[in-house]
Amino acid sequence: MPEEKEQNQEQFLRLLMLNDKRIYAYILSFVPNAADADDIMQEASAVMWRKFSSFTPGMDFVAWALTIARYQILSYFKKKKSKKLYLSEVLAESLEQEMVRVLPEMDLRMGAMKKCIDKLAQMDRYILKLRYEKDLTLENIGAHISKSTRATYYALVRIHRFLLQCIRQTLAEEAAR
Amino acid sequence: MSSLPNEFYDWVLAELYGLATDEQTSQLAALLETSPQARREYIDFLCMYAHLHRRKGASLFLEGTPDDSLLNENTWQLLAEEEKKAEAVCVERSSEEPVRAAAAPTVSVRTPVSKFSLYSLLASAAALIFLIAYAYLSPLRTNGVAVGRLQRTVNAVWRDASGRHLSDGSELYPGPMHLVKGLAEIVLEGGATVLVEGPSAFTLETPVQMYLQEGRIVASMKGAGKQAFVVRSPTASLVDYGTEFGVYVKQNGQTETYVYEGSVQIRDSSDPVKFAKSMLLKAGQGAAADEQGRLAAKAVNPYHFVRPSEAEVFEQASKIGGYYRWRSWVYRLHREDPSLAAHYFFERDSNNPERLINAAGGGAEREGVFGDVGRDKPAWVSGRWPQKEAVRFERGKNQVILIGPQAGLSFGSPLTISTWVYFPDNQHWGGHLISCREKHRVNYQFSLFDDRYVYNYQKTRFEFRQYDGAGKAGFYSQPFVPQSGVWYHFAAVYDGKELQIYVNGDLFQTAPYEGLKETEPAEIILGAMKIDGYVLPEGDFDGVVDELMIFRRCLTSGEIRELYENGKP
Repeated sequence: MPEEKEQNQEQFLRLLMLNDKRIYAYILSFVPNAADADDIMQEASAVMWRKFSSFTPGMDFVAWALTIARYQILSYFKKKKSKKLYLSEVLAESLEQEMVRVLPEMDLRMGAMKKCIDKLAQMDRYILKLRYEKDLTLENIGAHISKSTRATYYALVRIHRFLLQCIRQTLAEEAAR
Repeated sequence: MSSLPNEFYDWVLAELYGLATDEQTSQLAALLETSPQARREYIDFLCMYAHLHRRKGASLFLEGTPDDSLLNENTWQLLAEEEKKAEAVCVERSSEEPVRAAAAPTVSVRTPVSKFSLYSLLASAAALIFLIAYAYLSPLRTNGVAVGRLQRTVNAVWRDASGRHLSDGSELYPGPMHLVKGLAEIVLEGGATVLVEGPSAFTLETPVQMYLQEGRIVASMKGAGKQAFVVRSPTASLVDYGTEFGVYVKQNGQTETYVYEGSVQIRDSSDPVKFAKSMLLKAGQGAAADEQGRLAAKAVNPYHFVRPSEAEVFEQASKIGGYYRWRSWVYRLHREDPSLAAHYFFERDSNNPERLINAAGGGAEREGVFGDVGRDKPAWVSGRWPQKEAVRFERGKNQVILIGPQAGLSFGSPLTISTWVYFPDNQHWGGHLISCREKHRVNYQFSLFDDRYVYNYQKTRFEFRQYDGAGKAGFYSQPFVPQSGVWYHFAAVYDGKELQIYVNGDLFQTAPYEGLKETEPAEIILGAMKIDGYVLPEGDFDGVVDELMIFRRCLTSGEIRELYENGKP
């Protein structure tokens, strides 16, 4: 039934869009390499779509999606044996728990991050834009801002660190209100 | 207080970017194993990274709400993959023959349309539109990344393809641009605002660097980031750290700069990295690089540039006229007429209201000072337009504005004096307007006396006088009695043999006059008469002066008319 299929597709996309970053963050907690996490995310999303008929209204989409993502992570580790960051089982479990604990706060964090981005110097915002909106390499970003690749990388480290601290402070201030 | 090592954030980002060394990886793993704080910080970092990384193809900065944005690139990638794998759909072919529109009768018949076909068509069209739009809008376009945007333009005309599709708000990419005329304000991603004045040929190189081949710009970096903004020219480069400065590059590559605020370094090479000499310039200072790049301090006229804060003048000139018409016109005059020795345009310096600005440049020495020892100061009043100010001199109060002795202003001929005046009172008006004199030596003096003046032969007449102490007489015109409450434009043009007096753009009188052959530097006095200690209050100027120009040449009657037309209220 084409109409039903379209409705399913629309619902799936809506749920995936709403939770895309939660799922991705969860994957990162096991595979902290963005390129590998991207591959897993893509595979996991495809599996979710194929299995979406088993998802019934009322179910927790995030829990359902994380289960699928976990299988994909395990499958990924089986295929790609050389895991760069070795995490012991205890540590992996601990990180997963920590991640699952913060996932419900993702929207709040996003709101705080936007405020913090506004506080960045204009050049820092531009660097962030080149990296995450335009998806440029460090080398290309460096060419745009007349900096070496190394200097560009350290600028990004500094920006991420500032954002992280700012997000934490913003959330604390909002909680105290 | 964080007890994590400083390198922690470096390790995490290196891991995410796939750049971590084995050593960094093991250090991070070890820290995560042992430190609960590191684990919390690590998870927070990953959450933040997920937000940033998953924005690819969507804006980080412009959206309203966190997650209700357009589908990002990743989601569309997924859909595309699934579409490739999707089963083919069989669509039944209609058995009816299509009706040929041209042969159809005029009665319209509504053809039933299959809902499925319609949905498929809509979906395909939407996908096609999205793909086209995405291909166009995607920041991943192959033609580079915008380095800034065109904030606004005023009567801008661009040459060739460089500006064919430019409109206010357009993104600007690295490459050459040629502004033939008008103004263009560009905001660069690095934080600088650059106001380009046509004609100018320039290249935006990076968000923090541009090359000015020829023309004029003013760059402003107020409140921006710490990275320097660089303007390169054929002979020099200017490096700025959060300030405002103008740059003028001539056809032969000579480069002039003036610093309005903060400080700027001028370097003797087009390459800002490879240079031999440099000069640090502070606010109010100017410098130039000659064709060989040799640097020297120079009194550059700050009024030769249009600052971003002044662009409105040009924007309003064509819309409103009046004050803006005059102001934008004098900007052009300053640039185009090197014979303009002084232009006291009577715009008050809010930081120093007792300073009479000389907009023709030449340094502080050519500026006027209100009052003198034993003499009073005139007052600022409304000028020709509500936006403009002027100075009111009152007779009997010994009010003056003085400009110190300057060789550049002490000449006899060729000479043109142009001024705007207003007489509030019809009982006492006019008097000594301007003289350039030292004791009994008068390089030039221009007055209009009323009928209360002490000498009958000078009453109600214009006076132009050059005097060397040996008894040379002045020129006195036919009688002229102005109306009170009306602005007048007066001009005196003297070529060494003949004098012309103009009133409101029209020639009032011309006559032969023999003045001085040689002159010496002397003080310029506006307002009350000062003749070597001799006080003649009846000769003190009574009225309002709005503008005074001194040219080192004789303006034509057409040019005098232009002065009047562009300056009339």
